[in-house]
Amino acid sequence: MSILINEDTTFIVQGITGREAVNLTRECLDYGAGAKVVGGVTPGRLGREVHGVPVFDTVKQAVDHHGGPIDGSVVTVPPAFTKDAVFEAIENGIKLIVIVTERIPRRDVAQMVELASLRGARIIGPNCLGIIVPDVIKMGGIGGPAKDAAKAYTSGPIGVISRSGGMTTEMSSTLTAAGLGQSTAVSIGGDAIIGSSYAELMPLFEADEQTEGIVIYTEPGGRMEAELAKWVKENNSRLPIVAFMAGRFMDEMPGMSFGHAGTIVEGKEDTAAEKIARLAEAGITVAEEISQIPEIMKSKLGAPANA
Amino acid sequence: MLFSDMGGIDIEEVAETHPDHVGRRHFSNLLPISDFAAKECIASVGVTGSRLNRLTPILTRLARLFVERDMTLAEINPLCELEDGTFVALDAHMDMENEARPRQKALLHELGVGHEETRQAREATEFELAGEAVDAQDHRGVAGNVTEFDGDLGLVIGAGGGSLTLFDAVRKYGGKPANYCEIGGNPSVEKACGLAKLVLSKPGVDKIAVMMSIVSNTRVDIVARGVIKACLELNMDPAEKISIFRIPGAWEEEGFKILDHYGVRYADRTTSMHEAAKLAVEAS
Amino acid sequence: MRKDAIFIGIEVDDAVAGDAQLAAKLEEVCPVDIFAVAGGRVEIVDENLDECILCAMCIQAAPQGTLTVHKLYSNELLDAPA
Repeated sequence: MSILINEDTTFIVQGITGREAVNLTRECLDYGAGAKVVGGVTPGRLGREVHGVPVFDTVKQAVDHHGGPIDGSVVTVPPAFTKDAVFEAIENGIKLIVIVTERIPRRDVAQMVELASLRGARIIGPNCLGIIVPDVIKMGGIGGPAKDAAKAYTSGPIGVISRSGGMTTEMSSTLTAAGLGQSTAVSIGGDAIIGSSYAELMPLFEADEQTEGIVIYTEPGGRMEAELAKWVKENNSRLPIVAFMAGRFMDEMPGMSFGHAGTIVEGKEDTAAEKIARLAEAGITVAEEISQIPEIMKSKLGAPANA
Repeated sequence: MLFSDMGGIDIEEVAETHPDHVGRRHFSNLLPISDFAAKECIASVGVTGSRLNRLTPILTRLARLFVERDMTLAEINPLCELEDGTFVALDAHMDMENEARPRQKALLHELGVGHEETRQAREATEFELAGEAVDAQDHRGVAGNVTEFDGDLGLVIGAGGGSLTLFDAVRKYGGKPANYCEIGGNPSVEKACGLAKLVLSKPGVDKIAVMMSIVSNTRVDIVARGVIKACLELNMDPAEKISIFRIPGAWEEEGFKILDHYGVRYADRTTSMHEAAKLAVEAS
Repeated sequence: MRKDAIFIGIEVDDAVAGDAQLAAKLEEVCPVDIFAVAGGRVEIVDENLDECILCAMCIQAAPQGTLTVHKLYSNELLDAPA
């Protein structure tokens, strides 16, 4: 199985007529079994089509046209309009929202995440590439065109969670080359506030029978790794975890931001060194190089329990 | 929100040494900010009586300011009580996030905060400003976020996470980077060219390493054209100046044809990012 | 008419280069502004040639066989879209 999405998942693309959204729609339609993209929304463009997908002015029109609840939405609208688009999706009953947009002010993100939690919806992102279930479906730009995504991702036992969209593919490709396929790979976004953190996705992977181990990509900044370490310890997780930490050089440069909006060392707990120590305390191995990840994972999978 | 009755020192220090003197409370970003949350937060460290009633609106208004002005931090410290029981802020610290600048223009103007003042911890160098100019020349993708270092190994790297990984990798193998940068979001040939030219022209830089994590949106052939064009425009031989080109992914077949034509050494995804970084260090 | 940059060259048959309608169409379809209309004729914008993303929209827009895109680095012609 997989987490979050499967071959039956229906979704819309908000902002579907934008250049990147047109490409993303094509990619999702082409990949695996072909995603069920049941509509697109761009205000004022009712009646158009994007690669055969009907375009609507409102999410409500898309839901009415579909004739029942729609599972998800990929949001690609500009930062100033993202909050409204996400509110619109949530208030029309959509439960899984992938926010691709970068540079959304934090206040807006906090409001979106709060509304999602009140309504029982889940947000992935912002500033992410989405979710992929290898050979089955992808929701978002993750992995790129279908033929490129097929090169990097194969089906298998590893769940991948990454703060960087590109590194989700790099790590999955490395796993694939070593014969370790992926159950689901999730690009969770690089902003300071995101809808779903490592610790929030772990229970889903924990409950997924296909998943036997987790690989994460992480960076300095924020408290997500500490939360993951805590979750693993408190829940006695069955899943071995291997992590890769980029941006170690940033420990010497507090207050400077690199890579992603959320990647900045502001206090002691933010540093790569501190995070590596916390992850290690929870039994999570931090690989020195990406190419070592498969070997470490294989040895952990061979071991009887997550010691 | 946080409240402590031990002002004048760093709040992180108070939290560590006297946790019972720090009140914490989450407040909603959707509901209008009202007094009760601040009152609960302050009362939780044992403040009561008229002090509680005078402090509550101060914290409420600070929280409101924090939200309305897109702050990442809004701190009054210390807050002093006068003999007549009123309170005065002796110092305050506010950080606004960059993403919100467009909608806070009026306030920034009023405070005299200019466009060039960023949240980075040190002032931008001339080299970094030139990098910003390259990135600003058109709206297609990113070829920027240039940060200057004092080494001699020129880096044309991407994307966000890839750059962090590669920068670490170069240093791990003993390389001394001349710069940090990020390519992403499928920049134009001209932009990739501008970035490569900037790095190649930096005093002390002999060669550049062009490396990224597997790309899916950015195109291998477009970046290849950009960096080769940079060499040619500077009357340099791409085969000599580009020590290694490691960008696998979208349009790689086309990109490799270009690199073959100019005799540039390249690697596909079977060469790991760390291996590529090692090759770059060895060649410099 | 043929123009070459470093990586990309484009040739438009002189028989159609003066067609104002085609010129307008090429200007519209090219995502990187390689074509412009100048005095009712097709004009190739030199500085944008190397930005060509090999989408072949121009080949599709022109009458068959009248417009070719040359990949100068591999001595190949860009295929017309299927």
